[in-house]
Amino acid sequence: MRILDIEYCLGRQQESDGSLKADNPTWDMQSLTEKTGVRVRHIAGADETALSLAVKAGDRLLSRFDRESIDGLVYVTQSPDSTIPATACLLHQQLRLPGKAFAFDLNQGCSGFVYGLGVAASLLELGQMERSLIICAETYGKYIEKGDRTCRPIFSDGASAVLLGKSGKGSIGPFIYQTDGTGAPNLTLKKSAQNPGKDVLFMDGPRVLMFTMSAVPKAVVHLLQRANMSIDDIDLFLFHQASRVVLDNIRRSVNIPEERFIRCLEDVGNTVSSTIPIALRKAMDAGEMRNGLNVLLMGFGVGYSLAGCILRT
Amino acid sequence: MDENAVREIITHTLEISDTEPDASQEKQWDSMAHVALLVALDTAFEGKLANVEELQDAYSLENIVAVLRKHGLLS
Repeated sequence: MRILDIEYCLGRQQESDGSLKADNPTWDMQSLTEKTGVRVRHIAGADETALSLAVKAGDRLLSRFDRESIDGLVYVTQSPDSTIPATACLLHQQLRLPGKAFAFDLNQGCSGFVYGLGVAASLLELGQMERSLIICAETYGKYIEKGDRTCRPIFSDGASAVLLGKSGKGSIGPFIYQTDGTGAPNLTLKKSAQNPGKDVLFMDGPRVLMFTMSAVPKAVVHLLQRANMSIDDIDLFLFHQASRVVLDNIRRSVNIPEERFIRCLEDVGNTVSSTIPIALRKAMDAGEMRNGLNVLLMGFGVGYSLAGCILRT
Repeated sequence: MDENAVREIITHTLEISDTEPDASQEKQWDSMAHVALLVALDTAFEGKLANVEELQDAYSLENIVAVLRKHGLLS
């Protein structure tokens, strides 16, 4: 089983440090950029939604494959264009996928891609199907207020499309999962004080950081134990690209050499569930993803939720 | 690691000069700044602070020192 291809699409509007400074003159952008690691954010245009970004990413990928060969679609989003019916059904229609294909929404954020990969891989492993799409899409930008110094410097809107195939060299797994609902209030939607009735993103940065600092290193150990591997057996580590301070802390805590630690934040931002697939795509473009590598993937965050796996290329 | 070292970490990370730093008196010590401070403290304490949850609410030198003493982390 292996990842056959990846594509992605970012929100149309680019926000540089200058844009944020113009809206918030008291912000020290140099200091913020040092902490976040993000120089350019991508925000959905007024006419863009998570679904439209997902369609673009999906169409780009499917231009290279026979759509009739797709057996399933896992749509990962917390910015659904529709709740009833599942947005996956709309996406299925707009991507012109065959009627035989399954399609469902998976409501997870930062851990969502690895969750989606786990579900799709499990379905393929059952032997009933050969290929599944995992499409992640978020427009957190629609929930973030202009003056939010915690969230605005970090998040970007974007979508990614990954095609998983049962045949071919490589493998995916084992997987580990972790859930802690006590963390739910720390990254959630709340009613805006400035705009009554509007839902806005709220993130308690210190609390979410402490969860990351505590949970991620332990999860890495757990995953490696399950895989019967050690740190030295892993060629590349790819964590959810939350922010620079979070990534730096993880790398130091787990003691990962910088040359094996994938970073993809500066010109992309935190696209929530798409950070891992976008980073994988860029690593592929840079020639870093040759055959025979062991890659550790781990998403973590909103929920709290965490999911990790080993990908053998 | 003693209280003076913690004070230095706070003032250096937050780029402030107060000898008794307290978020109620420092406008730039907000949630984002506190994240950077927690990481700086954890680095200085060699990863020993990952499970010291009280630090997420400790927004002054006094409170941070009290938490660290409670966990036996200060000399």
